[in-house]
Amino acid sequence: MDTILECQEVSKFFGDFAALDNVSFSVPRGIIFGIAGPNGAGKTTLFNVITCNPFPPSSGKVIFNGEEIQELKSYEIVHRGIARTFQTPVIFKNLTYFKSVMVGSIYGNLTNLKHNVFGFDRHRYEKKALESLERVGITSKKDDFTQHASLYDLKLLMIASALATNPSLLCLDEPVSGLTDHEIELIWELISNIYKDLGITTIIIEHIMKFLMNISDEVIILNFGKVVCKGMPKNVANDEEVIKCYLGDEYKRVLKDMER
Amino acid sequence: MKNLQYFFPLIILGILLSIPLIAPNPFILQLLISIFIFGQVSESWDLGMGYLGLFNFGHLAFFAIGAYTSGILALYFGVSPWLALILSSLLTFIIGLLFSLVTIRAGSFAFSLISFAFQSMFLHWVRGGGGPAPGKMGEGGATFTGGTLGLGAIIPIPHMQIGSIAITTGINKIPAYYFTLILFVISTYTMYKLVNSRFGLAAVALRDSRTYAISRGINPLTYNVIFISFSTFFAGLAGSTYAHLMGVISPEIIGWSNLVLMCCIVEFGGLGTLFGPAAASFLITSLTYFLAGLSAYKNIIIALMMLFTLLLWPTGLAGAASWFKSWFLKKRERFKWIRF
Repeated sequence: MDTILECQEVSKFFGDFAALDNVSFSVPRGIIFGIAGPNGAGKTTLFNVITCNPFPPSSGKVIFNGEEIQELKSYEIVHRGIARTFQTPVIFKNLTYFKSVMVGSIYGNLTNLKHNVFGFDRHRYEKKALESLERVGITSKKDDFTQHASLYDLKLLMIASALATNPSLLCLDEPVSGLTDHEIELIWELISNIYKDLGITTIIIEHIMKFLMNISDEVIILNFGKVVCKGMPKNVANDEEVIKCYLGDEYKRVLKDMER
Repeated sequence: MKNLQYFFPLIILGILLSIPLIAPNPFILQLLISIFIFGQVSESWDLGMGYLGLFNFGHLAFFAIGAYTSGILALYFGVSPWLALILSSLLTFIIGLLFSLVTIRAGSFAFSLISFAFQSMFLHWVRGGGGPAPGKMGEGGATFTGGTLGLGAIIPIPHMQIGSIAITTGINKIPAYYFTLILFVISTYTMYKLVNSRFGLAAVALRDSRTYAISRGINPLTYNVIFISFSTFFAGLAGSTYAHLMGVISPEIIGWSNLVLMCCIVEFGGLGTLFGPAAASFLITSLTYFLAGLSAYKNIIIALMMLFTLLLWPTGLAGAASWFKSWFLKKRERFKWIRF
């Protein structure tokens, strides 16, 4: 299995504080990869340095499809094929659902201003945007404005606009935080469907360990900017150090419940 | 419903086209001519201020660059006013492009400050040292610009001509009226198309959430620069038209009072709406004209009116319009006789 994304000794310093401290891991192509850890462990910072948005790593290498991307601008990284969503929902509040996805569809695929001015095929991008809206199941709302959308809709919308950029690596930052149990189940189904149908390698940051264990093929646990443990989700959840620093003793009981 | 978006603009256009036939009053025509020119300036300012969220303090400086370039070309180099119109707008476009290319990298706050500095420097240069004595020739740019006296104060800037019909603000204002109206309509339509195109989509996305927009592949510099340079282009076009119509340009047009007035017009009309600033420039310019008899009180009245409107509808005239529209739709039963 070849590697789609590789982080080599990636560090990020804010002043003296190391948000990420020599983090190294690799993501094989075609799996769902989970990143977990307590609050402030550096999970979102890891996404930020991978996509260089809003900041690049202080040191280390990020290799995507055999190319070093840590020096690139974040919009160039999107054109290479990494699309991300955000933990706190961000919206274009003056645009409709459809237009928001069109932003991803047009600008995620157009790499050059020249292509934007000459020979622009609007129809193709509209088709792509509608396709993405349909995949997450919010086609009926396409002409509504995003300003008053619910949290669930916003999470779906972010995934739709990420899909519209034709990614080969999808980075989801806490896709289910703040949602109800029923909505969590729907998003889980959606992510597995996207993975099954399109075969996009997916990285998921998540707090809810149960969600992550059900969905992912491989997991790393971060704590204080360091990789504590990596491997299959089952093995990780049983790891002594992970239980100590993150899951807590109570989790053993949950684990037993799940096995039952 | 789709044809309705052009319904009201076309009615307004029809009224404007027929005004010289119904009431060829030179004062009304003169008023409308300046409304068209300043409407165009406020709309183009809105392109940067409303759609990008970048406060270009030096927008009137670009208006003046268009005006002075056109005037200097026509006066000193004998260039045909038509060619001067095109050349000066293009020059404004290029200066706007270079200016924004350099300054936008510094971020939006720094951009506002640098553009304000640019405006002040340009005003100073035009005045020629900025001494209080009028017509202090030979210093700074005053050799070309005529200093505080203004360009064209001694020999007026040549006006444009179609055959034997002169486009001036002299006695017969009708050609000038139609000329400015056509320019206004063309530039409004172009700007409308621009903000509703994919470029407008990128601009609005960048304004609403910069991080999100960048993470969807928008290069912020490119689209900001495109919008700012188009906005300066239309300002330059308006400036050049102004210069040839009036025959004289004084530094006062980019002075502090005019800057504040134009800024108020854009805010009052509603940021990021394009038609709002045009409507506001219509309202405020005509109020200034009709209340002229009240001398100093007119400014107080206009300011109070703007304050109360903005208190009721913080998004300005555009907000008021959409409020009335929704009110109308709610009371539709009562207005059944109007068919849509």
